[in-house]
Amino acid sequence: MSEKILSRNFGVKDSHTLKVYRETGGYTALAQALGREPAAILDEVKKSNLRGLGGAGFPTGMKWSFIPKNHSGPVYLVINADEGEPGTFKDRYLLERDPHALIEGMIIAARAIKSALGFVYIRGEYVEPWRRFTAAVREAYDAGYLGQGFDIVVHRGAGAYICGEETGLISSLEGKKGWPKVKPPFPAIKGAFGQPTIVNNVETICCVPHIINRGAAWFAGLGSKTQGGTRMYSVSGRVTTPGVYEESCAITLRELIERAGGVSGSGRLKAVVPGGSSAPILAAHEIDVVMDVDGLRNAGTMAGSAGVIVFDDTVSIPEALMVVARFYAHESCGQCTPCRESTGWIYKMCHRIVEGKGRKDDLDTILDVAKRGAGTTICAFYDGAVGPYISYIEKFRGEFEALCQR
Amino acid sequence: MNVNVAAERMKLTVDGRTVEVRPGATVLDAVNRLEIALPQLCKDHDRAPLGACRTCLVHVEGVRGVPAACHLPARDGMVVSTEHPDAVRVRRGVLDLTLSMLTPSAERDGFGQLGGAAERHELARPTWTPLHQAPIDGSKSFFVLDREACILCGRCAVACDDVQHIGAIALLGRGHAMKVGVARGGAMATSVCTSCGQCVATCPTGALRPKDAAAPIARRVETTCPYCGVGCGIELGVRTDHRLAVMADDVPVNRSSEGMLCVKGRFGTGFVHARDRIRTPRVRRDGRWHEVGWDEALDAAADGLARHHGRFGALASAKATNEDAYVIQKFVRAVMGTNNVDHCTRLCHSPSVEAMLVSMGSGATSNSYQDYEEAGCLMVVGADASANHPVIAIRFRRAMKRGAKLVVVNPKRVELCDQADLWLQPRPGTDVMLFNAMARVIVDEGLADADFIARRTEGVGAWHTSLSEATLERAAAVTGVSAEHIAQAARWYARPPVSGSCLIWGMGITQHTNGIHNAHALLNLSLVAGQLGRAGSGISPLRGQNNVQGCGDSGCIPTNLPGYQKYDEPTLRHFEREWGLRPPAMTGKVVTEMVEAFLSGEIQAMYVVGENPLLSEPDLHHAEKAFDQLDVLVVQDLFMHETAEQADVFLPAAAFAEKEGTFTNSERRVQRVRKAIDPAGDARPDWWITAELAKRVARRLGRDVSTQFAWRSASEVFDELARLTPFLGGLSHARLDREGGLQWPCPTADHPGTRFLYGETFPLGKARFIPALQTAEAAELPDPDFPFLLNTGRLLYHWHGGTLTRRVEGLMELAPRLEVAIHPSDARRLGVDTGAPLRVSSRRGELTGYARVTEAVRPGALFVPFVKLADSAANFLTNPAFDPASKIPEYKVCAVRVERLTAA
Repeated sequence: MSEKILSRNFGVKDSHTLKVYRETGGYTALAQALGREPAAILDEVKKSNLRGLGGAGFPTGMKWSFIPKNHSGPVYLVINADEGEPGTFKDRYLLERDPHALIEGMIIAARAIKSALGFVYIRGEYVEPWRRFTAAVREAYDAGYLGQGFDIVVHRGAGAYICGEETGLISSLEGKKGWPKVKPPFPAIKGAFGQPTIVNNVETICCVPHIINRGAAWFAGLGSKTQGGTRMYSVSGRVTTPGVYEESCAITLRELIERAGGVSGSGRLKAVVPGGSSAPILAAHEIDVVMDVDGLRNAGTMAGSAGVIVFDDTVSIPEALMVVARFYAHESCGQCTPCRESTGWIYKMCHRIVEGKGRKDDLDTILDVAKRGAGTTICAFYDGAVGPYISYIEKFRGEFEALCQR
Repeated sequence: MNVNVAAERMKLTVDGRTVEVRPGATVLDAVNRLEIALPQLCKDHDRAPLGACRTCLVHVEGVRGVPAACHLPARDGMVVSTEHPDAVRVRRGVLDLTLSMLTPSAERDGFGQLGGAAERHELARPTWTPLHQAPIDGSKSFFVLDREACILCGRCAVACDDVQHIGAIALLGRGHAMKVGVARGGAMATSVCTSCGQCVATCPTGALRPKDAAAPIARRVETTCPYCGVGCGIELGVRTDHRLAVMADDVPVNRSSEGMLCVKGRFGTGFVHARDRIRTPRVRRDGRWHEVGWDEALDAAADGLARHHGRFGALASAKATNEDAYVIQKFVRAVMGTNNVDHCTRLCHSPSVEAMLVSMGSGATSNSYQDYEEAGCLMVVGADASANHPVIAIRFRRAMKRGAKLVVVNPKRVELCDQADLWLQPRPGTDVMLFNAMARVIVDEGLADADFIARRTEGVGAWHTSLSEATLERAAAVTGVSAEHIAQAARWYARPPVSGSCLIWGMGITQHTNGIHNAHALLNLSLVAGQLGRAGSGISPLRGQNNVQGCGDSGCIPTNLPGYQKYDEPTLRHFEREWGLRPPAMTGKVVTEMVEAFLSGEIQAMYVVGENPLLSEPDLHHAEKAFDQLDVLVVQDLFMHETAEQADVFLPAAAFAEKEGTFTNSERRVQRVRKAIDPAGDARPDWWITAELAKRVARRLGRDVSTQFAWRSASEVFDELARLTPFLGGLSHARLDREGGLQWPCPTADHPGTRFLYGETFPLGKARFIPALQTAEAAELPDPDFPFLLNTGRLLYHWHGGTLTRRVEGLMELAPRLEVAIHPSDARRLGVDTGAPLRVSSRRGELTGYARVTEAVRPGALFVPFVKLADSAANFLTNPAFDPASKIPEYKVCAVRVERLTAA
């Protein structure tokens, strides 16, 4: 079991308060960072191999370095706390139990990218995390950590998954409908309110104080070759002890399921979704995979948001796909034709398959429309839906065919 | 530094052909340059791509997948294929999904752009069936919303929100439940939609389409809108049956309108085909009209007019072209021997023009529309731009979106008030006090532009002394506006957050007995703050008629020759040399004075062109009596209107779409008017009719005009106007055709035109501060017999008196009857609800209208538009009392009483 870094205080009473955070070493990294040049902080983060933990796994230091060097206007830091990926709940833990870690990380990150204003976009349904976090922001203002050249605005979402997509989030933050924007330009060049903007996940930024305190080499050493640090895995479904587990990125999926007490239900594993609902499914025999970005990519799926959903062999894969398809049909923003129309139709077809009204050629029709639309849309939402459509059907085709007898 | 032009170009290969584009271009731009047919359903040709339809998919060598060409930046050396099998396969799949959204119907003629794209991709029948059905929304008069033909591309929502800044329609909901709709999901007619048709023009599938049957269009003719003074470019569709299509298109390259239009420009040109157009000349004999040939009609008119040489007046039309106006004033001055020629500016902006002439020496808007958008503060006084100059209102909204402050001064809550940062609601008639108090704030708080005042103005001392009474406290008491708001408006105007300030005003300032004082108070404000003569600043009287600027420029005013030239000896001699006849040196009568002169017998013959004074004059009963006294009345128009009914000869004129010429808009831009269709029946262009009349009258008077009035085309008339008018000297029809509209002054053929006036100097040298005094609020104020204060104005859906718009069915449907705006507290007292019939009467007359209960008017005030609907018109009530300096009648204030009528 690896050292607890981000979750070290989760069991401590009143861990969300400034008092406890300070007693456990909080805001010491900030003091150090204030003595360093922005370029030095950026360099440290680059060397740490920190990668974005919201889903895309993009190297954080490299993203920061995209901010135009000679920009004269404001630069914004936006924290994506719109944690909506089904099977993912680790940011919620961080906001509720260690909100000051995010605030400290933001102040340091802001120094690196020369930003004076940060926004934290919190999922609308996250009421308690929002309360805890805003209370922590107040404490940080009172203590003088905030308001000294860096301010934080907390913004609540209103229940749309698409606002977790970074450009959709920016649209929503700007007061518009949460529609993703065409890239390029990328947010680092032209983001919120037309200014250079870095959008980072909660967990990613929570790592930053530790990198400053204990050095890039230490952080890089915690993980795999290409991804530094530990990761907060949300483990749910048919496991004995669901919850958030902080582990090295070098852990295998099999080990992770064991950490969560092993498969529950029938006790016989059928499949695992390793990185949130958008990650292609893995069959039981594919779980000896290393859980870092590259390991899962090589296995044909993705680390995504590290939401691990475990299916025992009593779970119907067609029913599971119907639930997933309903989610994507409901959450498509509707902007791009392939996504809007395909998600609607695929849900309709999955539904009729589960009802036993499927036609033999339905499976190939779904695969054809899914594959044709992949990569054609403004944002990655539809690609995220295509992952499960294709992998569920291709890996468990027999189960589907059994339902399509017409 | 040498700029290598070649390096600024990028070379791409598309389907094996090479194409060059500029940096910043997209791959779709390159494809379109080669005119390769690639579907692009969500791309309006003059807007940035939306990127939503995902049909412009292409293959690019070295690029993964099939990117959408519309937002793929073009790069040098790119090899693009629209025909690559991967691109075609995926694109066909997307088109299939798109086509599957639609329900075919016999009511529609295919699916526009989508139909064509589907055909090219051999998609006869879609794979899927539509997920939704919806009935057609036919609640708007000109067009329908048919969601079963909608592909949710979003172009309509962008047109409504980002082009027009109206925001009536949007894509509601999300995912496959998304639909085009209005707030709260009601019918289109329940929304704030203004029927501008911007959405209809951009819809790629015909989901938003005009109600009239689609007829084949033979050709398209770019011309200038005939309605207000904004001067938008419109493109008329001429159908194969030689009629105009109901819907005109916008002209993105027009620099005044930039592709925007309002409901009247888009859908209001149908009056040209009205059944009651007069198509044949008429002569009245024995009290009856007789249809006659042109010779007979012109001879009859000439006989009559020649009898009254010197006892004659003419009213020219601000709706007709510059060429038409020039010929009329030349006829009046050279042949009829009088300067009694005027036009409708007398009834709208004469105080503005007079005040600007006195203070600065020129009577035009100083800035361009572009300056509204670049300004940091817009102060809009007594103008309802959303109704009367809708495309300028869009410019205001664009400016606000960029952070400009909007200050609205209006006793009535016009639509702009709801968008303004600050709304001042002064009591009618107290404007001088209001603006003097603002000026005092500017001086007292050190916000005045001392340098500008010192270098560019004179008379500041005496003017400053005249402000002694205008303290904030006193102004607050007189105007009813809080001291704090007056001061805030002054500060924003003098020191806007960025750039400069524009001062914009309308009839609310001018149509008062103290109109000229009001105008001077505004001009002084602009001078003390130095807010004119540079980009993002300026002074703008918003002009009401399409060519009211040009009609004055061309000389149809009694005080000046063309180009506002004075009756001084060298000028008169110059005109005599050109014309062969000497214009009289004495100032003529303005139209309100002419009407009085009918009664005294000083004027016995009148030539009225394209005007209907018996609807637009104040106190119509009195005006009718005056017209009765005339011996000869010749009317030249499209329709038999109230004034024409009194005429002896009626000369049928060609409409704007039936002739060549130019209009000059509010920003001094001279723009081409082009012939799209032949005149109705025997109708002829105004300049031709007037020239024929002039020759015949001259013959009867024994004057030799053989070399005059001999033009063969409107273009030749314009050349003479330009030769005699220094500020138009560089313009010609050919140049305007080549370069598009140009703004005067444009003195030479190589002059680019002028964006704003007074950059270096004023025509007078220095501008003058003219003390403006607050006089009595109005000539007639409410009393126990007539306890309500009546305000008049205009409507979006009707244009002025309604002579044109009453003849457009769809506009009548949008505003069918005369509405009397009344405050809820007054309505309660009278026991009336919206829609209840009312009788409104003044000392001069009465009208019947229908209550519209609204907080837009103050308690004790009524508002009635001056359009005539069902024989009721506001000018039966209004007061002919006029401003002694500019002679404008006080349309904006009179006392009335209102009673509830029991429904018959």
